Amino acid sequence: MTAGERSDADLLRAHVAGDASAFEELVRRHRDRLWAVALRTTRHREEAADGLQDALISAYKAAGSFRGDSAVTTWLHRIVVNACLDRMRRRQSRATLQLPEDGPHELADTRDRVAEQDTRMVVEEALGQLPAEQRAAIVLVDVEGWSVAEAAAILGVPEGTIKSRCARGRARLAVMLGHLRNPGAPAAVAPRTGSGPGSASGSASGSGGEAR
Amino acid sequence: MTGDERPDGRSGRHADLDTLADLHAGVLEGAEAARLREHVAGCRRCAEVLQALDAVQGQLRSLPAPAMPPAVAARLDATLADLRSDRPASTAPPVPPVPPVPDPEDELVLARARRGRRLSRAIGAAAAAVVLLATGGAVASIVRGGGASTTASSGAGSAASAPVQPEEQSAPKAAGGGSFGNDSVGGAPGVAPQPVLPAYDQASLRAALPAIAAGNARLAAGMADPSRQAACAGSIPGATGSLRAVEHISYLGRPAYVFVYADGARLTGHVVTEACGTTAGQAATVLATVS
Repeated sequence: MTAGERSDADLLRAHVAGDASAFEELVRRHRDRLWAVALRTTRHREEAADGLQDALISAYKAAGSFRGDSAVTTWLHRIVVNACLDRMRRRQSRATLQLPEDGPHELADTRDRVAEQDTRMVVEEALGQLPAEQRAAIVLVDVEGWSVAEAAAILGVPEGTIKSRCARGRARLAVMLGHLRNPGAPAAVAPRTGSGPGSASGSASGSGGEAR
Repeated sequence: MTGDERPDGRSGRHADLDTLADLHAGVLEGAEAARLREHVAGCRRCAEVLQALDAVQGQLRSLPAPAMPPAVAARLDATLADLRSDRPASTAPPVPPVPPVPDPEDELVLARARRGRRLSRAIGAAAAAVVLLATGGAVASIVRGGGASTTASSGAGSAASAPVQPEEQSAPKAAGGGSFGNDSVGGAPGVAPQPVLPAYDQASLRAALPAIAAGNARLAAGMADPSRQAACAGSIPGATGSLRAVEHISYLGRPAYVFVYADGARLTGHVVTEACGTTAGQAATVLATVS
């Protein structure tokens, strides 16, 4: 930060105090990362755009309730991710729709070499197969590089839940991306099918980690 | 997890993928983790699974950030411009760029208090207007105007649509010649600042739930102590899930508290009267339930 440049917290305070341009400056600073998270959370461009818009309106209005317990970026990410997950849930409750198939292609970087691009698309595609909450955890921790604690703050769940969602997600991705040598081996790769204690992804991700 | 299918001492037994992924992600602890690590050290197959998980992480890390499409960027700019034009421009003095801030928390509180005093005058004036009109509909409609603009969001900055603080819009007019620029923030000893109550109606509250929930649960402004807040929370019928945040708000013009609960993935706001928790054993009066 150069001298005279306001910190994120300064900008948010200025916005709350009535500075008309502060919020836009704050958004300009972070919108690329927020977009990346929104797009990867929803896997759908329109949905991501809507979710990001909902989130920014919400943050604009509720800026006064920000209490400085977390970084402003964490707070913004939290609002964006939740707005996106919320949109997805609403849509799913309306109808059980498959996500449009064009999701991953939006993410392709056309300037890169074809092979590299193919690999990335395969990874994006696999990422898209994960349940939304697992994907959100993986996107924050593994793709965006947030710490487990930060991801927990963003998603509003305990750290153990983040770890366990990441574990489940990475395991599935390892299978989907063909990283496991002998997928036929009895115990080594077959994801548990619900027989083991605490195995089902939903319940395990909800309480598995922090219960011990 | 009882671990029937775990290596449990018999080092010849392989761990399943999810268990190894738990180990890899740091979910397992203590003796269980130690035992499994010991097994992995001597087991090529299990070690390969851990390497595979590392490889997955490596691939995820190297994914490029997608660029925001110009159309989306333009739309966001338009939304922000709308929000900005809906906001009264002259109610606040420009904030000095880098004020020395000893404690961010204090500064926020001051900022809110500052706005609170400004608002309280405006609210006073608005209340007088309501009395003159002898109808509560005026306040409700102002609030509703604000709420509608947040969901539609693209309507031009016209009429009664100030999304942040609907009352604030009437401030310059309502308070007549009052200049808002010369509120001295810290220099008013003995004058207790009025609390700022962000105003919501049902639609705008629903839209703001994620942001309120993101504000970190803690004692809400106006709640004298945690036990009162807990008593109030306990007296809300039908509240399920975990309490995420409590906020002192104005709901359809009425001072209230909103308790935001997360039940699984769903956020629900229970709006209760301001008196909630003051009378032991009395159920909260719920003004609205929004989710």
